[in-house]
Amino acid sequence: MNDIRIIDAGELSCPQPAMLTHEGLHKLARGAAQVPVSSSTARENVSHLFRNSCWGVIIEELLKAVLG
Amino acid sequence: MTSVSRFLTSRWGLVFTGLAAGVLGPVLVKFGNPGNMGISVSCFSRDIAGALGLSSSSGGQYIRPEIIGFVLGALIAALIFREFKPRTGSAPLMRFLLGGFAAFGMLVFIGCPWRAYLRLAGGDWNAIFGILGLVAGIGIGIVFLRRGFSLGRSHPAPKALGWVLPIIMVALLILLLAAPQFGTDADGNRTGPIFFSTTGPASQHAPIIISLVVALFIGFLAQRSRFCTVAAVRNMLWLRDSHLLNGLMAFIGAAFITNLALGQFHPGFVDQPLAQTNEWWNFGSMVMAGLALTLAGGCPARQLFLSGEGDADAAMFVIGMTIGAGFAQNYSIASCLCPADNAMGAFGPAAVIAGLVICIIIGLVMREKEA
Repeated sequence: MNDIRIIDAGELSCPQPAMLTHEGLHKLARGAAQVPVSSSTARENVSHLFRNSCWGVIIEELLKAVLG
Repeated sequence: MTSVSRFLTSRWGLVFTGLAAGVLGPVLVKFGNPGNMGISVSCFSRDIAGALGLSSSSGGQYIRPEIIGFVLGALIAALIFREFKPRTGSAPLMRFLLGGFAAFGMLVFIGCPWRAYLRLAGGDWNAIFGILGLVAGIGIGIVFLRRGFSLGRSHPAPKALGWVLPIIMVALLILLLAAPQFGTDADGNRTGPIFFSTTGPASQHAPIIISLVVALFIGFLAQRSRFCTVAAVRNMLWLRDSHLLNGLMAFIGAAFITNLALGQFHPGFVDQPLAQTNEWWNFGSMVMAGLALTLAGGCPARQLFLSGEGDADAAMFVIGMTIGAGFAQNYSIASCLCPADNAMGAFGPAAVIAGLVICIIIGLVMREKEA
């Protein structure tokens, strides 16, 4: 019920984070998805895709040490 | 600064970047750059390759400050907005190859995607075939992306790695200003190490300071706004997302109006500056370039901006493109630089077909390994 689908886009470069999110969104009509990314470009692209498909977006910034 | 950043990352920031680049490109032509070549990353890489002695073409040797400014402008933006994140490990050698083949395709057409649109905005209708080819190449690239093509994940790298390409650019700037010469040979020809054309397109250039300031400004804007001429088409075709396309449309529109205002709009197919008129190979060469650029993730200018952010994989693309441009010139792949000739290089078509085959193989074999 409260499953969060994880779409791992960490350390991937353009356009893969957007591509994986796009595919993930197609499979996921409702619920929640978590998409770890590691660049601000990917963060913007991914959140843009979610918003375009009328999803709510929460952006969480992890520790710099984790992201590198 | 945060409000500047918010503006630049918005849709209007993209439009502003497109407008700035669209106006300033033709203005650089007014100041002395070759016709419809205010900015062309592929042609300028070719000129840098020539200036460093990697190609012997007498008309294609100059260290173009625009390339230097693009990288350093993006570096400044990335440092100010804390986006300087050195990284590497996403198939650098493949990116080197893709850069080289993209250079082959772009030099057969004579122009990177930016110049394709600048040529269109200057009335060079040959560019239409190139742009159609580019769109087709991006379409083929999307098929590979959807089938699981991936150059793999990068990983954070030491800060020093991210500084390598920016420092190379500073070194190029010093070489441009100092133009060291080790003397002349028996016939009085300069022996290098740095060569500057005295005739041909590379001898035409805007004053260094103007080129550099314009490029720093565009590099700064484009790093923030993520302006990319390949991703604009890719996202429209594949995601039906017009966000980046806004920037591209602003770029073409602004360049068209600026060309009209400066008297640089000359519609037609023939007698266009630095263009060849073979429509099939204008199309075919850009199919290959479009595919290579889509697999590499962005247009050549975007690779320069990413290099400024510390992306060492994008920097490998840039180096591959520069070396590929040198080969293209030496091996008669690039189309002729003589304005009266408008001829394709003898081995241009062969290189386009070979490049297409190799890019398709790369598209088929590169997949992310499951962890």
